[in-house]
Amino acid sequence: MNEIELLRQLRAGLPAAKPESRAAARAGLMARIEHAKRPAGTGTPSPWWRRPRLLAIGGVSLAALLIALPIGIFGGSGKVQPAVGQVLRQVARVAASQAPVAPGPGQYLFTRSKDAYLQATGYSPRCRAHPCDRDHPWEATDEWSVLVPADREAWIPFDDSRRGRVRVVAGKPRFVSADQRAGWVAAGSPPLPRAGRVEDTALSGVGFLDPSELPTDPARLRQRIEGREIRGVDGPPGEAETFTLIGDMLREGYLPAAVRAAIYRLTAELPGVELLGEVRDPVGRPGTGIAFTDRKRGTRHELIFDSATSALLGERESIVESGAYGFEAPPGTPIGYAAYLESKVVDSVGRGAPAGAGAPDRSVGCYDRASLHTSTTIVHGVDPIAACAELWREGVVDARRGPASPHLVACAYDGSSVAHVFPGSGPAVCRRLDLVPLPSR
Amino acid sequence: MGHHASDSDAIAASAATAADFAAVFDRHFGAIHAYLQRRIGRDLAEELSAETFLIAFDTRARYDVSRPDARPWLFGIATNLLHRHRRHELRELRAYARSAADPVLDAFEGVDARIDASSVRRHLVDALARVPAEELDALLLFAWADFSYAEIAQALEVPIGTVRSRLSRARARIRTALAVEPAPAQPQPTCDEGGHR
Repeated sequence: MNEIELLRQLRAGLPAAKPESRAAARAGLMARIEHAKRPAGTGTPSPWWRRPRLLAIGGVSLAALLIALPIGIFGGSGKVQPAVGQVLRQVARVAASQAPVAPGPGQYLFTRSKDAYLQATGYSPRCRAHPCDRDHPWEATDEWSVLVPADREAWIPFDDSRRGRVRVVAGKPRFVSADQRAGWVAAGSPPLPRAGRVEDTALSGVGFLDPSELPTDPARLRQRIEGREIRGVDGPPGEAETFTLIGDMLREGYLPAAVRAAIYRLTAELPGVELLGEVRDPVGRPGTGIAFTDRKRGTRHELIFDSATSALLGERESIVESGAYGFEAPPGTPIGYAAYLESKVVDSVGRGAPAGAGAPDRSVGCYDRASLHTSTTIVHGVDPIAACAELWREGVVDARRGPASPHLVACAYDGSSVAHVFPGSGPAVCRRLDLVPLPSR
Repeated sequence: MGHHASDSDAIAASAATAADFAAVFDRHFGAIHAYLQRRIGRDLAEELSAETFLIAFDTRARYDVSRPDARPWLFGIATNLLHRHRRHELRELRAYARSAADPVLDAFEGVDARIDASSVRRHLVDALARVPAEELDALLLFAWADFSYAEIAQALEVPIGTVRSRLSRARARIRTALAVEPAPAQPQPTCDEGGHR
């Protein structure tokens, strides 16, 4: 069986849309059709393919980015603890008075952290004598869970007009429990993931959350988070998920002081949040801890704040019941942690960055005529005219033309980073379309 | 509202009579919803499939009516919407890879095999979570929507050569993760599996 057939079996046979969902979607469309007052093709088209200006931190290639965080979906339905409220409201007051580390256009927020994530390491006894059975390598595979510590550096751009970077250096794996280690030894101590592996990735489509979408009133902010109405802060319903999203918002990001204060205030009112009091973060620094236990998933997530600065110092995730992550281990066994060591504004993505990191990244629409009402091919690129010229030469923009590109001109809506590229020459092409010419590179 | 042989006829007619656009919804809603649901689960799929058709209607003037089948265009819109929820999609894939319980299946009553003991399935899911977004889009349009290379190229608005290379990179990543073939950089074949990152 090849990988495509395996993939085709994955999540196969899910039920079709509920009739009422389909009916609601159709009714919504018919309402939109009813309200379409003017014929199609008139007025200013809204470029639907324009990416949201600000996306979630780590929106792309996130596989390589985030520490192992709780995956809670259905939270425990605990009560609001008054003590949590007192402590978090104090943290909120501190947050409101702190000038946050605020990058500007063209800059990056650099953060350095130490973290650890769970990894399963598989092994087939057959591999030792000869290569793995290529058709069924998994049949005889044993699997052990290890925590892989890592040093992580992230450069998150001010907005998604530039590409960011994440560099992770993996450390020596450690078994999550003595049993896991014993199983590995019994199998002859096969090779484990190597320490010192480096993953260095350029990120596109990342940036900070849009402060204009983030109310500073805690009740309204909570409503918007719980309604999953903020771009980049989405997920299924449930209090455990909301707690996860709160962690997402505080980590490796920039938010105005008033919004940070609102996050702490709304967390104070969140049912199920537990006060841990004074605790140490994963590298031993003292802080104030809170936690949320997700009974459904059998995990617990702790956030640790510096009460003097309100900064998120670190976090931990552990299992609360044996078997929650597919291995037997005592409750409290850690399955991930992070300690945030440094956060500062920088002007570049640093030395030795992978290709593309730090370069401008914009959406480019390549049009086949000098009109906004014609077919468009969308690409992402550093140089709009070069990107479209390539598509013209490949016959993608207009298949009827030979392998050559016409003269092209790049325009934009005033203030927008999206480039619209038309055949033609000179700034007059843009002005006729009520657009602004973009300087040629 | 008349009967239209092709999507492009319906879309062209909808320039004058907007209600003709409903034919496009009736033909494709099921497929769009099924694809979105498979990628991000029931709740978000309901929202995004409805939004896909609203966006399609609003931008129908840009539709290239020389293309009779609107599926690539609609799946392209749906794919753009999915990108806003990339974090959610990855989180659920990682949850599945680590706990063997698929949050997407978990939302349905009576769907069997919620706890999937197969380690190959988990390695597959783990590998999917590590495939870059643009490769994942091509791969899942191919495997789950049965798109041809040309249709994927139209949906993602990239040259067909790019589709070919994205698909082959994605498939190679997955094969490596499943240890069907050893990674070329490794001198000795091993079954050391990749990270659950």
